[in-house]
Amino acid sequence: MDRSGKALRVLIVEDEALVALDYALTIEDAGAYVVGTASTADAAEKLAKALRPDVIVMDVSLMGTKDGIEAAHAIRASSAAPIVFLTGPSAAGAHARIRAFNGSAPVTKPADNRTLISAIARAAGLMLLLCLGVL
Amino acid sequence: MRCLFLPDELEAFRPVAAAIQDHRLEFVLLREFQTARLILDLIDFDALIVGANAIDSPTLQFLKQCKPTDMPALGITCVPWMCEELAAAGADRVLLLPDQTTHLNTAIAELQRRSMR
Repeated sequence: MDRSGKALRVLIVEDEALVALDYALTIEDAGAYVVGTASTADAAEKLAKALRPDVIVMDVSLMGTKDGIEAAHAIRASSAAPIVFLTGPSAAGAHARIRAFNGSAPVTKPADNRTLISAIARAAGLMLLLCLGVL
Repeated sequence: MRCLFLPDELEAFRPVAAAIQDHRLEFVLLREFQTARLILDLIDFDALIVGANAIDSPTLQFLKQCKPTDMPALGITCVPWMCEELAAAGADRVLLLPDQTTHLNTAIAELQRRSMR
């Protein structure tokens, strides 16, 4: 839930259906609301624009020709939703690109539930401060 | 094949997610069902997979009211009497879990064949 009492709306971008399902269960158990999941960058961009999630959980490695960081850049044109990136431990190049995108460090996969929820909560908190004009 | 997966519960339909992953399908899973019609217009799906465990399930209603006539649909349920409801609502094939979990891969392969026609 965000501080206004509404359930946080989360979009998951992950190309492994079982992993996406596990993330969705974890996020819903934590009290947030999963609007949907997408397995490609193109679908993620369309869902982000149509569903207007509060936070996006983005795996860097996706099906198709575009990765999650490219998807994030495309999404940014129509959505200011904070993005929590997930990537493998050895993806040094991805880490640098993510830092260049939003200054954050990605969550390393496999992510335990607590780490994932903390990252989402931090991202959501930052978004609320932006909405309130504090940052 | 790009499929739209609409489960009214997540854990109950885990075997479907496993089958989608095994077949490396592109997928969109929606939990905000009222947006499903909008998403159908935005993304070119080849097939629909609907999981419904109750007569008042919004996913069953979506299948009845919004399924495109030329889109193959697979209905999945964990409740035996829901099989008939899903078939009547427009599912081309219906599977009952967990009894027919082993048929999921065949059913998905069949969806792929139908969607290529």
